[in-house]
Amino acid sequence: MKVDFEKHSQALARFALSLTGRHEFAEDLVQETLLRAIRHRGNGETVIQNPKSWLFTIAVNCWRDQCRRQKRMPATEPLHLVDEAVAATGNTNQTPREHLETVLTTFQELPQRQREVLYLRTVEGFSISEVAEMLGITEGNTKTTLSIARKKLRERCARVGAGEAGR
Amino acid sequence: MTNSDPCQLVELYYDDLLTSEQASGFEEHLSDCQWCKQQLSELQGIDRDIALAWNQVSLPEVSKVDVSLETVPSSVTIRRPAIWQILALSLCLLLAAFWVGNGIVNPERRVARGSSDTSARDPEEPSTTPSIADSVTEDGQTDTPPAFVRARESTAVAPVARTSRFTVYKLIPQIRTSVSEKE
Repeated sequence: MKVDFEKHSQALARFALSLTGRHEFAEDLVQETLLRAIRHRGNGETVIQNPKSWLFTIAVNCWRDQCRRQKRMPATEPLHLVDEAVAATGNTNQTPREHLETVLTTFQELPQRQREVLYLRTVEGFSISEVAEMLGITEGNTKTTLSIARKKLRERCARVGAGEAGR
Repeated sequence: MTNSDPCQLVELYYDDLLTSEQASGFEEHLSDCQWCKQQLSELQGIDRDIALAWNQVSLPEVSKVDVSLETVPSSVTIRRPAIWQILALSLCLLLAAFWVGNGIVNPERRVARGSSDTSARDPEEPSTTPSIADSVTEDGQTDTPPAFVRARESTAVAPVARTSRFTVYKLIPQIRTSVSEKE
């Protein structure tokens, strides 16, 4: 079995940032995830069907362990887009960049579980069953959480967009 | 979830969770329902925006990872030997300790054991190894060593311990002689 960690490192860093909400925590989480992955890879005879979801599952477990040790969820920080970020969105009240920043900010305000489900489904494109397996929850729970997260995000983005338009 | 209102299936349809029959039925409904079209469009838009935002966010620096499972030996096999290996190693160490303690592989200890057996040694050869005979006093009486010394005599000990033991043997008659001279 061979797992190309380099191939998944960027996706893992992005997922770690979505989990932690802070760059310094995300860096630590990526390192710990990779260390744990190397340590738990066994004797090389273990067959890993999907290395990406395997790494993401380890990252989720690492982050839960860290939160359990610290007995509280660390506060998130505002995330920033890269300088050349542009997007063609359907929102006409804001510039594309502002709209994406609003989406990011609103995303960060969601509860932890909703962030995890929404990220894995929309950004990484995992199926509902894969998300449920990675997070250790039922498919029904995953569907409900995803629906609630989408609804909240749409409502908050619409509220922010309406507020921007009213100024 | 109830299937009586097809508009409630819009998110399940979007997430591809409907059966083929349910999906075809919903598509027929979708062609006539503007609300479902709008919901579907909003779902697509919000998911696209989330993915777009996260793909353009500034990421934390991840140091170069140059590790693959084929190139790095398993830490499990290096750090954790099998139980039978540990048991075999422990048995070897115990046997080695037993042999050394009983003088089987220590020639010096073997000589010390044979010191009481005069038939196995040349009578003209001076004894280089101190024995209980050294504790005989000048007036010819056998100075029987104390109980604790005798107990140690029968105990298999390391050469260092034996040396200190015979030091005790030598000192006891001298002390007793000096006491008798004073008397």
